[in-house]
Amino acid sequence: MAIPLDELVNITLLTVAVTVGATALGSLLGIPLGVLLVLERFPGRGAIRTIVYALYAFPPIVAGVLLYLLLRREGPLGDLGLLFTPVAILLGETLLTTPLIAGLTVSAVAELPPEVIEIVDSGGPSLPQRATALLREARFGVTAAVLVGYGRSLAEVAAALILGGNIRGETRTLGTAILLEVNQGDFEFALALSALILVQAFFMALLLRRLQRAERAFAHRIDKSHRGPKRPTSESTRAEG
Amino acid sequence: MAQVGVDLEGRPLLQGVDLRLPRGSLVVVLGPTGAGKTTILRLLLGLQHPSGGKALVGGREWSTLSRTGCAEIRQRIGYVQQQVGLLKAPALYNVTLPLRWHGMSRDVADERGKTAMASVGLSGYEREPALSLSGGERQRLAMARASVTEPDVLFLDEFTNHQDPAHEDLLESLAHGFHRLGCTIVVVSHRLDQVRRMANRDSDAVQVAIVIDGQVYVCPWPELQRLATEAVGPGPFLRRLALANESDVEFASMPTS
Repeated sequence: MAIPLDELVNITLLTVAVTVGATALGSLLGIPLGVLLVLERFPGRGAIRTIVYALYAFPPIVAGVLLYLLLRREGPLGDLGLLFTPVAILLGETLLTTPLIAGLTVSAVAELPPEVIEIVDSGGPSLPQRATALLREARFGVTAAVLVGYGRSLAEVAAALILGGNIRGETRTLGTAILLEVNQGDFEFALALSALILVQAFFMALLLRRLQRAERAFAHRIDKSHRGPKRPTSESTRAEG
Repeated sequence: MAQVGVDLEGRPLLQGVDLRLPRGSLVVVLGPTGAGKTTILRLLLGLQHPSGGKALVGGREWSTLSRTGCAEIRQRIGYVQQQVGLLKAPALYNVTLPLRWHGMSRDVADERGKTAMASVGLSGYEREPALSLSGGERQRLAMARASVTEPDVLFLDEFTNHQDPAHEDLLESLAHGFHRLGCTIVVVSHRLDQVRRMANRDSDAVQVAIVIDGQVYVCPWPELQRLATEAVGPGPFLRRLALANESDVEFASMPTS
C-alpha cells in the first residue's frame, strides 16, 4: 500500500470534513441568498441573479487562483495565515458551492404555485416567517440543491491543490492524493482512492433517490386520498350534518 | 381605491376605479370572468400595485407602508382565494399558521384551529394532508383559515365554489355571522342568486360593485334592477346574468328601488 492506513483514514476524514463544511457554509450563505433573490425586490437583484447563474460554471482553478491571491502572504488576507491549511480549502469549496445552492434555491422557490406565495403573503408574516414558510414548501428542491452542492464540493480538486498545497498529513484530500498517485504512476492505488470518493458520491445519490421517493410517496398519498373514501370521525359526521 | 387603473400586458384591465369599503360594510363584487374582480381584491390587499391611481388602506397608500405596516394590516384581514393555495402540511397546520405568526402558542392555536375547522364542517380532518382534500373541502379549509384570526375584514373570492347547497349555506351563514359582529366583508361572485341570498340575510344592506369593461359601478342591492334596465354600462351584463343564472328565479324578482 502506497499510503499507510492511518494516513488514508486522515485523508478520508479531511475530505469528508471539508466537503460537509463547504456544503454547510454554502447552504448557510446560498439558501438565504436564493430566498432573497426570489422574494425581495431591491436594486441590482437581476444583476446578482445573473452573476449567481454565471458562477454555476465557475472553474475551480480560477476560484483557487483568486483565493490564493487573497490569502498569500503578500495578499490582503495574508496576515490570517490561512493559505495551505484545511480552512483555505474549505473557503475555496464554499466559493464553488454557494452559487450552485443559491441558484437552485431560486429555482425551487420560484416554482412554487403563485397562489401558495399569495396566501402566505396575505397572512402578514414577517420576512423570516415568510421565508421559512416558503422554504418549507420548497423543501424537496432546496434539499436537492444542498446535495448537488455537496457533489460539487466532493468532486473538486484544482482549488484544493492550489489552496491546500497537498501537504501530507495536513491538507491532502482524496482528490489531491489521487492526482499525486497518478503522477507517480501508481494507478492501482489511485483507483482505490477513487473508490472511496465513489462511495461518498453513491451515498449522495442514495440520499437524492430517497428524497425523490419521499416526494413521490407524498404525491401518491395525496392522489390516493383523492380517489379513496374519506374517513371522517363521528364528530365530523355530526358537524357536516 | 381612488381612480385606480390596472394594465395587464399593456392592455387596460381596470380604469378609473373608485371603490370605498366603509368599516362594517358588505360589498359583493359582481362581473363576468376575467373582468378584474380578483384583481380588485389583490389591490385591496396590497398584493398588487395599481398602474395608476391610489390603493389606500386606512387613508394610506399600500406602497408607502413599511413591511411591518403591511404585515400588521394583513394580519387583520382574512382571505379566501378562488384558486385556494394550501401548504404541503396537515390541514390544521394550514389553519393555525397565521395564529402562530401572531405569536400564539401552539396549544391555543390548535384549539382555535379545530374550532374554526369544525365551523366549516371539517372536524376529523385535522391531520389529513391539506392537499389531499377535495375542491370543496379545500375551499372550506380556506374559509377556516381566513376566519380563525377573527379578522376585521374578510375577502371572499368565489368562496362557495364546489359546494353543495348545504355547505354553501353554511359558508354564507358564517360570513354573515362575521358581518353581524362588525366585520367588513367583500365577496367576489358571478352569481345573482348568491347576491340576492346575501342581501336577504342582511336586510338588503349590501352594496353591489359590478365590474364590466374595466369600469366599476357601485349601487345598493335595492337599486340593482334599475341598473339592469339601463341600455349601457352594466345593464346588458346584468340582464344576461339574470337569464343565464336565474332560470329558477324570475328576473322580475329583482328588487325595485
